[in-house]
Amino acid sequence: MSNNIDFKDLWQKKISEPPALSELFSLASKLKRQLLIKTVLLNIVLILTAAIIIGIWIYYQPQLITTKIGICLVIFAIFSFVFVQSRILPYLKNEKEILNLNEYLIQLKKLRQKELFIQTTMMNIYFILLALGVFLYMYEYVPKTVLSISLTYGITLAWFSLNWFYIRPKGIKKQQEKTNSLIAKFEELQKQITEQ
Amino acid sequence: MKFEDIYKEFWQKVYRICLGYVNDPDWAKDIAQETFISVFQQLSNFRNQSSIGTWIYRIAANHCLRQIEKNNKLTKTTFPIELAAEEQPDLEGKIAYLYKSISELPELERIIISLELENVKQAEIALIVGLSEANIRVKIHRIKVKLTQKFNRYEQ
Repeated sequence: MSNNIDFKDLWQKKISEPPALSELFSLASKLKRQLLIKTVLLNIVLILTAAIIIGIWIYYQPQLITTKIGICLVIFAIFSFVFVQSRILPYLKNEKEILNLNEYLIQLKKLRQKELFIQTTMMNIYFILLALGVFLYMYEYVPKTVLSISLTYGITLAWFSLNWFYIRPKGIKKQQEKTNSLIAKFEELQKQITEQ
Repeated sequence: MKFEDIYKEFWQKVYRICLGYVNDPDWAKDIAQETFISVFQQLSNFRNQSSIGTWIYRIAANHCLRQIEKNNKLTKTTFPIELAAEEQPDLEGKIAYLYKSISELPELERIIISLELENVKQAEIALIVGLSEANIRVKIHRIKVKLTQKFNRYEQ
């Protein structure tokens, strides 16, 4: 039984050739590019969606106030969702001071809790606003016969119901499981720090 | 301090800390590279509030912790050399066994012991982790006892 194992000596014998600095810099620019592409794509999708909706407004010249409110609601739904989403992305990137592990864990946990809020509350608000917007918008263009109204609204309602009752909870549940398990892991790590 | 000098001086140390954390050379290299990218990007924000080493180790430790978020590849890979080492604990085998043993500790202990083995002062480790120095001292002692027991079993 030995109590004098020189762990430091063993540890420091592990040598790894540092990669060339050029490799590091090309990796850095690749990561930067990926982030840029993601941001640009997100913005393009946003602008395009808004442009199409505004285009419809200009082209079809809606007369009814319901159509205009509908368009505003849809645009508001999309923008608010992306706005909140974009608020969490730079959350840790903008930290000027490098936090210690304890503080860092607290931040990571906060970040995930924020994400959890977006996944549930914001997703629900987004769906409600979007559905309401589309229903109001459609009203002007649907021929005013019982058959067309019930058919058009029936199909749209079915589509939104499928999203609301099946796709949305499934997506939220999957995300929540992932986020909750991360939060649990962070809590476990915090416990590792605080336990004596 | 110029980035090139920092890179030269700290690569090995940061790499070893990452390797102790994941026990996978490629993965450790990735984390070490991410660490140095952060160092490069944030160097202008470094205001000498702490030593440059403490600052870099904080970044490295934070990057190690974030591996939890990346994926579930938390299954440890072991060095092929370990098979041979089972029969004959030569130097290479011992080194591999040390890194493997450390990577099997709880996450926080991995970081603390790696910093200690890198000769980082306990006061600095306390600053990196966010604990008191006395606390760090106790933790290091316990981890070393654990490692020694493991090694003794391994060498028998």
